[in-house]
Amino acid sequence: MFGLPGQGMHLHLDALSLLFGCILLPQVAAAALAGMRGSVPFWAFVLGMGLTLLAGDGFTLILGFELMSAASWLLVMQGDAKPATLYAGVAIFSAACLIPAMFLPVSSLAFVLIAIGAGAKAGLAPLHSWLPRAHPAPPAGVSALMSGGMVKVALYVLIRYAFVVLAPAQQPWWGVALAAAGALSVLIGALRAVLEVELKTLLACSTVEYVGLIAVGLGLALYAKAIGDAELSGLALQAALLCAVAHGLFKPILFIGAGEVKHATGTTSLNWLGGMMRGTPRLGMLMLLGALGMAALPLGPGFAPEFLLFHAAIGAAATGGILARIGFSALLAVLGIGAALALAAAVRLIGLGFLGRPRSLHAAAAEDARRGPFLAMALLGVCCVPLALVPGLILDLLNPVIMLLAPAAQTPPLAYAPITLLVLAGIAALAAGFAQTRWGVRGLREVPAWNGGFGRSPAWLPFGDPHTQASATGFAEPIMRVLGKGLLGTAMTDPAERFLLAPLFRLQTKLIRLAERVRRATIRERLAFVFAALVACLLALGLGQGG
Amino acid sequence: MLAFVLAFIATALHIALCFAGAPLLTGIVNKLRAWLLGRRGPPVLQPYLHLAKLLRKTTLLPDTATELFILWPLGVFLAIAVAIMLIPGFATGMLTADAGDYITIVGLFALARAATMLGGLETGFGFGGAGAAREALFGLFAEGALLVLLLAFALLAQDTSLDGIATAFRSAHIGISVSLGFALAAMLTVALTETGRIPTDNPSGHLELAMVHEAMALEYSGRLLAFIDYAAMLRLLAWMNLIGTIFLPFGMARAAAFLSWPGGLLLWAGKLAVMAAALSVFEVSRAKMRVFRVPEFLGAALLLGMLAGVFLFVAARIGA
Amino acid sequence: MSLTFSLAHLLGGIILLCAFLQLSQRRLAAMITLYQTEALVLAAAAFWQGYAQAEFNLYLTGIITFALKAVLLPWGLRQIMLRFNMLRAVETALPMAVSMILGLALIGIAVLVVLPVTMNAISLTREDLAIALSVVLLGLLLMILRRNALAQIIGFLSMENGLVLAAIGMPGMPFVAEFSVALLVLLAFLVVGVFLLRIREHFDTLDLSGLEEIERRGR
Repeated sequence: MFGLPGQGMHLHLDALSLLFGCILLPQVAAAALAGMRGSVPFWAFVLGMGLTLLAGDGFTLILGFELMSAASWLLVMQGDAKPATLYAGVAIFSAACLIPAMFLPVSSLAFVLIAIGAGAKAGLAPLHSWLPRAHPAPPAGVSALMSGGMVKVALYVLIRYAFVVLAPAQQPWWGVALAAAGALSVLIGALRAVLEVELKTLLACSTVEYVGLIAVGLGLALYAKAIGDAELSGLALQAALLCAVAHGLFKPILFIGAGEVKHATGTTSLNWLGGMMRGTPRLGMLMLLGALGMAALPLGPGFAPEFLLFHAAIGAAATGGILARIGFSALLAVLGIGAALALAAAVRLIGLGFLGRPRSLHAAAAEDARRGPFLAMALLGVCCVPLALVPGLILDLLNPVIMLLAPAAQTPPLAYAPITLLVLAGIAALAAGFAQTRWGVRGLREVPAWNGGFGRSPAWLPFGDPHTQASATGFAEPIMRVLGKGLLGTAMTDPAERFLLAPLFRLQTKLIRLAERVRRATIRERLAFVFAALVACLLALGLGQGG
Repeated sequence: MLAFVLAFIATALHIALCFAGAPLLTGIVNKLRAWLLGRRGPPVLQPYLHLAKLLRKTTLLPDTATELFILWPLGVFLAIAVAIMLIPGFATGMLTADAGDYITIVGLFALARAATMLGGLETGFGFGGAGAAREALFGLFAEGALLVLLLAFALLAQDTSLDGIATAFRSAHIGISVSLGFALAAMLTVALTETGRIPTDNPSGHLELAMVHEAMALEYSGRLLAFIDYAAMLRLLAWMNLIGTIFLPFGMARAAAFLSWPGGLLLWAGKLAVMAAALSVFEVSRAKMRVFRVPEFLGAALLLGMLAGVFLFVAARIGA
Repeated sequence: MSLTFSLAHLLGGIILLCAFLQLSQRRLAAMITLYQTEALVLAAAAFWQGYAQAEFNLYLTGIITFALKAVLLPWGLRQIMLRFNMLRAVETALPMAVSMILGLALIGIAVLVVLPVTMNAISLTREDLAIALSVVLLGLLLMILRRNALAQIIGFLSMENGLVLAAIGMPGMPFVAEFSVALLVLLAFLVVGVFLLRIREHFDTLDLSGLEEIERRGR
């Protein structure tokens, strides 16, 4: 049917495609449940992602990838036209890098093009600044699938080419470069996630962070594979793949939840939310679960991948010379700071959005999640449970994929045992309960909050003065002051926008001026153009013949 | 079988001693501090009385709090309790040794921090929010420094579980190393911040604006406050155990060798006493620093941790 | 590894730690205290090396270090500090975090340079050399990064400590060289003290940025 003439269209299913298919499946089901069932572009989007995963040749892969880009562009367009243009530009740029790379011989150049093309689509720094603009624009279900699924498909392309197709030409620096880009994404994504006020933008920034974490894992695995370290490559691949699985589960919960917040209150700004746990307990608890994953806390779905990633970074720092030691310990520091930033972002999301006092009447009067989105979030939440409690079993399932990507890799057993922690916590809880019944008194009495001795608020402010509790900007202010000003500048613009997009816009303006001049050229000038082109052609021809 | 039974008893003994002794440790530190300041100080057993009093008081629920208000103190307590069960105290080779990876411990401390911050944000008033924002800032560099430090330990011990690190460092062939000196300085910095001691936070402070840990517990009372206070005592003991295990592992008992227990227990008590004395002396001789100096303080710790890794490289290359 | 070298390395490490922490201090008093600690540890290191190498000269070096740098110079510096009332924080040229990261980078460079260059040297002195070079570089960095003249002096003195550390670690280093170095420092200290007085008389401040301004205008 389709396909290049004479070659046809090949489909191919192996462990890697299957894994990413499994990552996509619950999200697609959730997004469909969350209200995207009737949308044609949505199903085209899903078809494109499926085709990319199933592709057996370069042409089919590009076809699926571009179908995915085009359909998601339409969906972004439905939400907001301005980011859609930027998104289309990035998609075209990504295609312009990927298409030549598909047909280049196996070489470092092909890897660089693939990494730039797939990285731009996945939101890897420094090509990430479109992501926090474009992902929040479409309806919640699509945002969820874009953040949880589409970036994974882009990473799938990267993995497929870097580990399988281009494996004969691999170099250690590929991995180092990928890990460096990943570390940059982690830092910028996590920092912006702490500073952003809009809920969906915050979540998109956190996606940039997680893409960075996956890229760090992949980079370490590539590096280890190239220098022949079997154990490290296995560990790093486990980290990267498990990270992809975990992020594909908890991020859609948060995005669909953000959509419900928008539906219930009409806003997603943290400065207008607050106290939602009272009116929307179902939504609040599921968001808490998602935030537990986002913060990578123990007993949540996000901890096991982070755990493996730290171990991989330590393993990498033990190899190589002094520069590798310094570089990888810096990477370790960045990962640690990134994890703490993600924790701060998740606490801010829950603490300001769902705890405390309402900051507006809309937040006070919010109604709980509708049935469809609630079922979607619950479905994903149930999928998170095995990942949170028995990550070891899921790692065993990943083994065939790791064998496919790095045949020599060894996969050590996981040293993190959530069940043991749960048992110990149970013992402590029993002891605490005993002490309380033995020596304590029961019962709770509801009273006005003490608030350091300040009096009650006046009667016309039912929840007190909203300005007396920490705002979203206020909570982030210490971090802004210490890290934000240094990395983002006082205006809090993304460095990628300042150093990459702004020069591009200036170039565009210049080109437009040039085109305008050409358009207004006199007839003589136009003739001169044609004549010059003719002479140049003749000259080239002559020189070519002569040479 | 016998080894398993012995390990089980050692683990149970460790857990029981830690849970029973944590308030005593806090009492001793408070008493020593008072002595050094020329005061008589509260009785050493005061923390026990404090907890018993809190348990008997009515627990108040602020009307602006949500239903999860009671969850956060429990979360703090459970996270710290699990951490203290995993960190070796007087003996290595306990039953919990396999689960006690360094990164798991760091994660549990982070979990406790998150629960504390959410508890501070719960009622939605200014002090709790300000405390939580500051705690978020302190957490950044503390977590980075702790992870960078693990690099030095993992390279020296070839293991990342606390039990393995203690076992490797106890055997004498590591010797005194510059890297471990740097690591100790960094670890102490982080420990002071995490336990809310004086250069970064004042454990006995009563000025809301200057508080960090206390500000987040401002709205809690009764048994919920008892959980938070008890968790703070456990946290101090957990950090002392952590530092003792890594930097002073000499004389630790083996869980499988019953005869080594008394010596191990005595030495453990001795080490804790020395650390309590050192902490008191340090605390009375320093002033609390400004909140925005703390990141520099912790940033220095982070860089010292990296230095430890770098110098380990030099030492490894010259065959030390 | 024998106790001789591990203890020598530990002392060197503490000296490096002091030099590094000087970078992170804003107050002169803290910097002087750190310098004093550094000199004390240096004296201890000299005694230890003297014992280990059975070299009488090194004991003398230790005594001089102790008397001059651990007692006399800090006392003098404190006097200057009190007289000019410089108890408040001094200005730094760069943010603290940047200066500390620069310090770390310099230490990395020192290690990077010392390792290959001294490949044929006695292997156990190499770590000491790396530490000594790091201390020298950190002292220089401190001089560059502080706008206050007294802080610059402390940086200079700290740098000189690094040189002495390198000298005592090398077996067979003649005592004379160290003596001259120590004398040089004392001279420099006197000169700078006088210089400071002059600055103070003329400009009423020890902040050198004003001087730089004048210099720039004159050009």
